[in-house]
Amino acid sequence: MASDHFFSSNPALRSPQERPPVESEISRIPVIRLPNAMVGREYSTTLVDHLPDGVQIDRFSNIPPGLELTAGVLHGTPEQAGEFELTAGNLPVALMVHADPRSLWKNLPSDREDPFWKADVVSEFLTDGPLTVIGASLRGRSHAHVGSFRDDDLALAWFPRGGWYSLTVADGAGSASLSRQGSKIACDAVKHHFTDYFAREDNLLSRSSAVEALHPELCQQFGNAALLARQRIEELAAQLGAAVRDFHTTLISVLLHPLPDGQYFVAVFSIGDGAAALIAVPGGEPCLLTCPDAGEYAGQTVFLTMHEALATPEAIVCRVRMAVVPRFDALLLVTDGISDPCFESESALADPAAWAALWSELTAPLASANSPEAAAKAILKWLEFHSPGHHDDRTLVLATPALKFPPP
Amino acid sequence: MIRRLPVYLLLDTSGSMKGEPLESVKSGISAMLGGLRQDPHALESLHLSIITFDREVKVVLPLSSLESLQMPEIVCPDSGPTHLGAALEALCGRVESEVLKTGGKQQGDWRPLLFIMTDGVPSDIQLYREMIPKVRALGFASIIACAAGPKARKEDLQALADQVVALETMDSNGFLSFFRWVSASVAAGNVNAGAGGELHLPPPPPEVNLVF
Repeated sequence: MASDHFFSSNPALRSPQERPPVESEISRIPVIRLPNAMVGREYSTTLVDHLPDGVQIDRFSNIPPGLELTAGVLHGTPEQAGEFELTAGNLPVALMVHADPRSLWKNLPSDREDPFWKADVVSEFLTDGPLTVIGASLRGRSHAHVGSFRDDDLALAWFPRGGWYSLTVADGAGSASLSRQGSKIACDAVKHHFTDYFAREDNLLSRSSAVEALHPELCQQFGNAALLARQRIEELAAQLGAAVRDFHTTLISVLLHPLPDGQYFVAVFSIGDGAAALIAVPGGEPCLLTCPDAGEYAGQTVFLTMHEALATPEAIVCRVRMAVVPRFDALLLVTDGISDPCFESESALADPAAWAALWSELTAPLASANSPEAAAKAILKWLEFHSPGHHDDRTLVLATPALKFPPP
Repeated sequence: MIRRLPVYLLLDTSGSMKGEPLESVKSGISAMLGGLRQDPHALESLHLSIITFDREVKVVLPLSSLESLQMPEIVCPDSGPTHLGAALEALCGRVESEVLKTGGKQQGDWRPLLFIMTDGVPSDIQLYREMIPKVRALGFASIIACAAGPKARKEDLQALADQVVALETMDSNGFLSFFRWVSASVAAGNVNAGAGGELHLPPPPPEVNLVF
């Protein structure tokens, strides 16, 4: 681009003499920069690698707190963040010391006046059935930092008639403005659907003794539950003049049924990411119950609220999985706030050993809990784990025969 | 493993940027980096690359973590063409080799973001037009173009970008506002990139006009 014409049209730049002084940080930044440091992290750099020949490094001054110079090596653990200007002789040398990201997270309250407010932390448990079931959901740091809402949700139910558990988790999309309500509606609708279903004397799932015969009925009922969830979301969207995509949410719905012969029947329906898996199934059987929908980049997934997710019977059937297992240590449902940091890849997600490692991390804090309340608290505490770059909401539901509490 | 948020910045360094405009751009970037360094999420996951274009295309900063990166030297020739098409071609190569996609044992990066700042018209307009579908196929969460000053042709940019913003004057205030908005958008990307599709950008400051 020819420049003269443009400059002459800008009065501030009409002639070089008249130009105002440019307030540029760059021009003040010294040419010599040492590699960046971070508060609390060990640092070591050999100065001669960064300085021009002939500079007296024994005359280095203004060294940031926590660092020292020994035999030409600047080393130590910085204590203070900021941009430091050291001097080597007459030469300014810049050193950027970053704050520890952990010290920068804020924990701002979410707006309780919001019509779709939800608590930042929830836990639930079921102890009236044969297993101990505990669910916990925690607002992620990325939401706490800006005072926004938890987008995850969960719902637990035990139906003594026939002996069925319905366990559900859902994860609202970060960029969808009402997704926290989408995930809540999804969990509530699935629980509602199965509450009604198992209350009926003639429900096929409880009557049938042949497990293979259950598949069509399961597909039908999971499909109906998901469609009910979507219908409720569509109704609310219409009422608010909002779009259905504003409620984008994933859904993992699990039905778990202890069989009379001591085995377990488990069936799963899932849309989107997160995962459900069985821990310690004998014989090293595959333990992953869901088939997470992932895109080429992180965070890309399918939502219950997308048309294609439930568009055809085939689309629903391919999301249903069922299994009969002789025993297991735990059934876990997790949202991607847990599965992302705990499993490095899709292949790790399918690895029984990786799930066993996750379960063993949980068993230690659970072992010292002597009540379901204490166990839920222990899980919430565990959910606070720190993993750089992973600060999404975290929701975990576990069902286990291994955890028993003394009667209160 | 940390999921990275890759951000690409394409800067026009053609002759018309020489002097105050370039100095303003540099101080804008510097202020943006200063702000992002205070954001814990950015400090953990943001990776930035800067590519400049004039007669030549230069990768002045290969994709580097915010934590490790240092502000590169950015210079302008005295005059010469604006090879934005060639810059996009270089960008395609960089994105393909630097940005990780999900598969097998590999966890993918967040969808990358692209910001383009130009004060003119692509001199290699034919290559520019050829590159548009290729850049769009890379899967950026958002492509944002900034038309700086009166000579920038917004129509050309609209064919490429999801959003075009205009800066009326090329002074330090304008660029500072623009880069402040970039950093707010990057922070939004960090929080929101979890969604399936569109990225919701914060509203730009008054000095930065949205072009419809």
